[in-house]
Amino acid sequence: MFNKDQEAGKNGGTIIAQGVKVEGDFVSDGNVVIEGEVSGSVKTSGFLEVGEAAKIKASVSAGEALVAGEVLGNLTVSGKLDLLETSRVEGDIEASILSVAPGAKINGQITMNGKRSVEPAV
Amino acid sequence: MYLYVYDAFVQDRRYEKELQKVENRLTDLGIAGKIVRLGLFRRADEFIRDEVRRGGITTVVAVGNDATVRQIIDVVADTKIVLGIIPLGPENRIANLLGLPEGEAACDILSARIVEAIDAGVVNNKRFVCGVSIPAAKSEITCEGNYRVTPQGRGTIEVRNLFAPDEKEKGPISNPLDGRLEAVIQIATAGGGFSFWKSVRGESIIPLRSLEVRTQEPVTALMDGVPVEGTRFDFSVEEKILKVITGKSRVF
Repeated sequence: MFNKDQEAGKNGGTIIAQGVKVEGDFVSDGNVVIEGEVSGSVKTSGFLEVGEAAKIKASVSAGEALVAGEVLGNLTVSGKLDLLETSRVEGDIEASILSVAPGAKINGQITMNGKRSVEPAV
Repeated sequence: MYLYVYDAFVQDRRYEKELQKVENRLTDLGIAGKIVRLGLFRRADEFIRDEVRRGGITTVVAVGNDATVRQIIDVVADTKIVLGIIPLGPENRIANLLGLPEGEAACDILSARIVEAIDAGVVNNKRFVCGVSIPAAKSEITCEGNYRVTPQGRGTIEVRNLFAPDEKEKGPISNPLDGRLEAVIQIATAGGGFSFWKSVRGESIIPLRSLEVRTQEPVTALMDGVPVEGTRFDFSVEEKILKVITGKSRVF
């Protein structure tokens, strides 16, 4: 599933592995893989990958994103957002393209192309 | 003019033949120059500064190993003179990563003179080329003043400027042309090993322009192999400050 973490490291991206906690305003202009814990805010113009074990308590903004872990906070993605079956989002989602796998949990509002709808837990 | 700085150890008899070959090859290539022989009481940086002040020096060549380069790195960075290396003996990681073969073969690379301006890392006001390794300790990292990274447990921290994986160390290449250092954090597992080598997921990599590392207890870090003791390590990067002669097989 996640095979981009090595690539992220090779291409000057960031990897926050399991066992590492990040607190504060994290900003990157490259690809980011998060497998650990983050609180505060996460901002990247690149691709964000949130691993199954990741716990994010932060407002998140990314160019594109693939989420398998937990995000407690608003999620803003300018491109495509993939929510995998193990993902859980407690917050509002804004994305241009959204893919939700069966089993993914969303509690928040979803906005696409400026149209807002209330999404119940899936 | 080229200034050749011979480290004290290369003046040992076992390097006599190789040095002779080097000197002959440099003469053939027309790049022979002034030779400075370092000794116990002779500081390389003071001598080079004097020579540069007199004028005419365009290139300083370290004849020796990483320790030789470390002795002259500040003076070549400050004076903006080109640095070359003729690697001799063990501990030549910097030369390897810059694509410089050992001994006589390095003379041809010097003559070809492919010069790259590379970044230097700085820790506690001291420059380094490859990286700094901080041993396992309870620590906290403040990144670019914006966020804090805390390893949950005792973790080793490496801050890399120039790095390529080999049979001993794994990880992505750290490019000294990108204006950033890579902070690489490895967390010790409950079994006493380091998860990094067992799983790529155990390794955190964060590219940064500046960072501060604080350890709870004093540790001995290795800066390009040189021990540095302390609990506070303040890192920054000086972009493209080192002009170095590189070979085609350089890693970046």
